[in-house]
Amino acid sequence: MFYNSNNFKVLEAGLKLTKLQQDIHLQNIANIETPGYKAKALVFKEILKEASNPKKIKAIRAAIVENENSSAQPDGNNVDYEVESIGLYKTYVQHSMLLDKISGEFDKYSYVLNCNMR
Amino acid sequence: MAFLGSLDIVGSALTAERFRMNVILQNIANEKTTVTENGEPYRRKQVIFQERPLSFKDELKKARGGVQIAAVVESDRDFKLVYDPSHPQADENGYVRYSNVDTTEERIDLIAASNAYDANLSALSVLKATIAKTLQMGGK
Repeated sequence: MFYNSNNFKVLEAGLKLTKLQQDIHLQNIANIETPGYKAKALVFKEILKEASNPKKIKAIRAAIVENENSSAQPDGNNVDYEVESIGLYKTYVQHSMLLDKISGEFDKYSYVLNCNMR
Repeated sequence: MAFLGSLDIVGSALTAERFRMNVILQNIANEKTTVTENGEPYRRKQVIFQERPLSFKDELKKARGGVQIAAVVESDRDFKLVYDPSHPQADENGYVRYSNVDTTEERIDLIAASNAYDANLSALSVLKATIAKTLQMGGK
């Protein structure tokens, strides 16, 4: 019952999205020298709409868009390493924050479960 | 495998960049090679990278992605002709055909490959920190 709570669902969804975002940054950095590669980005608009009602979060449907506009290198690749690198670090911070929240949830339950013991 | 699948993305890039560096070094090493197995001078080799698609739809089930080597192609640029009649490989006019490698170009490519390798290494350190954090999930 505890583990079905919405808090866990939201945090889990957040972790999955952060993971996806991280993989996209890694993919972009991995393809920094691939001719014709277009930088990918995760679009959060529709996902946030879903997340505002936690009960609806069942599957994550992420919208991945390719950046066609930004100025490309002569070989058609438009990965910006600085942007990707900062974005990657951002996902790390976000991931850590979510993990701390999950720990916090478990702490709450263990506090409740132990309140008669001490 | 989703959890450790991200490592494959970085790993594939490190492998690809390392391979590219090897090819560049091979080119530089063979700059003065006048005869190869097929009888003509050494031809400059170039690595072609290709994206290994990341399946985002079921990303958490089977994480792939990264970069792969599509092909290693040989340059068909003209060989360098050097006048050196005393060379054993010289033709009847006294010219020796050397490889079509331009070392300046190769050195610049080497720097680019090395920088891309470093970029992936620093991405790897962030990823490692994330994984270490994840393993402590639920702890204090």
